[in-house]
Amino acid sequence: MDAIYLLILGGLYVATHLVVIAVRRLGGTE
Amino acid sequence: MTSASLALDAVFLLGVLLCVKPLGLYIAHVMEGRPIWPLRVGGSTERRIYRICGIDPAKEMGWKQYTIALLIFNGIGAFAVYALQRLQLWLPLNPQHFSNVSPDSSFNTAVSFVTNTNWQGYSGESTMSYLTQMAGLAVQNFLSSATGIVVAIALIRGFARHDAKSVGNFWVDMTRSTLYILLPLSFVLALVLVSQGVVQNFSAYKDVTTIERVTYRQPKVDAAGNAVKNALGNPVMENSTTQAQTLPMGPVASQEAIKELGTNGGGFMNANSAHPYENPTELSNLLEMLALVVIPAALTYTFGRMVGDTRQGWAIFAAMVILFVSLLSIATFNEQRGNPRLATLGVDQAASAQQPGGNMEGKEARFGIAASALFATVTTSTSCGAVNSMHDSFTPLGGFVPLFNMMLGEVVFGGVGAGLYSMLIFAILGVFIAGLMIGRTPEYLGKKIESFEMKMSSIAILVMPFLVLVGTAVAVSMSAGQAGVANSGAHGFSEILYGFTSAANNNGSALAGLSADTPFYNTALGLVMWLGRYWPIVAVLAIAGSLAAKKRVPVTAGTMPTHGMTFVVLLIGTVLLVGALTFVPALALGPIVEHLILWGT
Repeated sequence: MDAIYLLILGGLYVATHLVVIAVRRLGGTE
Repeated sequence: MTSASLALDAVFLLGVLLCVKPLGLYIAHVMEGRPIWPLRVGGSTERRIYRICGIDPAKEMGWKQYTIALLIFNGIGAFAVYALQRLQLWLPLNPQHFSNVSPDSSFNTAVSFVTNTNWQGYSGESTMSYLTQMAGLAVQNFLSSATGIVVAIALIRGFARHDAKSVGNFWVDMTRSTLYILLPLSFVLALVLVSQGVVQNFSAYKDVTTIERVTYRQPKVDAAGNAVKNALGNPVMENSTTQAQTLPMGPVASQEAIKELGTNGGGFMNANSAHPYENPTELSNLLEMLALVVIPAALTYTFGRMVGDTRQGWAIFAAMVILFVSLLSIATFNEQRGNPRLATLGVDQAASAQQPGGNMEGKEARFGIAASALFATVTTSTSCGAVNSMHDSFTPLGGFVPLFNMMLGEVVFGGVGAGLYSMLIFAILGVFIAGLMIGRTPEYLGKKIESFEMKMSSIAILVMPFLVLVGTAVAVSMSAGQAGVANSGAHGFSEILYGFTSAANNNGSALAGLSADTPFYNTALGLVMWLGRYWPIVAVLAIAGSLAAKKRVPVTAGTMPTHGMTFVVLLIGTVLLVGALTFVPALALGPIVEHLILWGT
């Protein structure tokens, strides 16, 4: 069970990083 | 509303108003690094922190770097809180020898406290060791609040700066907001709370013998400790008598102070601020309510100060106060009016010298109607979620107010930092709508609002309703979701809707009828809390970066003023229209139909 929830936590973290990348490509200024 | 209600509300609002300017000015000085005496006193500690962590405080960050630093910091926090709960049995400061928390509850609580939600599916005094409470939960109370503040400050810098590539240094902002704002205020408030009777110790729980013998009913259990059920599958109840009572102890006051000041809301005890060890007196109750609001309210002045026009901050504050007073009036009026079913039975619900009157179910006698309705409105207009009464027992329209407060996106003061940045997103949306109406490119504080800002504002605003409505729809259509509901019909639906609204807005309060400590709710609400917190933050910081890079547009005769009453009305209208239009169908199925059933039959 620990592995599942750590995986979910890691997945949420990675997904949010991907949102940052997607937003930057949408036109955000660095 | 009674004269006592009006007096309490007036004292509360006056207290908030008196704090806005001095505290807002102080926060602005701290975040700008002005050489005021607290920064001089704490300077050596601050520099030592930077040296140990290898931080160059002079190095500024672009919005993307700032966001990633925030995500890494919060991600590490989530894993640390998860680990503390899963290992607490073998760690120190566990005099009650509480076992390790289950994986699904640990996941939910870790996300809950890192995201400033503080949704609690567990009972604190019978689940968490002192180490978990202090090193896990209380630490995140500080850091999640500081995270909200730094995002708001980054957005303010976006408006204040021009032709800039950076929005600040995340590590410096976190350190300063924790060291100079949250820690000193919490220290003072904790001492005041101790003076009122809030406990603060590391003692084991006290077993005492009560003067009176108490008889109560409880589910019968077999030799293996399993609940005995009858032929219909219902638990068999039995009478039990006792003169023993266990009094919970622990470092409550220190956690209580930041629980309120950081708009966190996670109580040391399951009963939260209704428990006499967390909130013993009328004075502690008033101070806790003020503590909830002072930083979010003061940040409006900080905003005005940092963008160089304090009228801008007062306009935002005025919009917040008007919304707050309107919603508070609805809650207080409906709770004071009482329950028509009891009226038909001849129950006297009128306020008098002997009783507070109204709907007292689920409320503490020492707080009464006024202080309970005010606390409920304050805790849901901010993102706190602490409670001093059971929202589940409010009248349908009284309970509608906490729910609607959250559905507005918690912009009526709002969470620490989160309230201001969410309100500024609505301000951007408001000036965009006004620009469309008069045919001009929208501007706010000298910055043109263009396609990218509108895309990001839309994401920041729409993530929450999407999570609430989809989450509720999934829960009501699954047996695992229906299993946690104590009531049938409209109120049962409200319990689920409230749970997802609370999670997506990072509030943390609950309608107590929802049994959420199940793998389904722990997982679903954990996902919603994370996405409801960080996806809007990404959009807000992207807007900050984009605005900081823009040139400042000179004010002309055609520029819409954003410091007057017209703008305040426009802002309120935008908040209400977006909130109301998105959630009216769901509200109609919950509190509104419940109100019509109660008063129409």
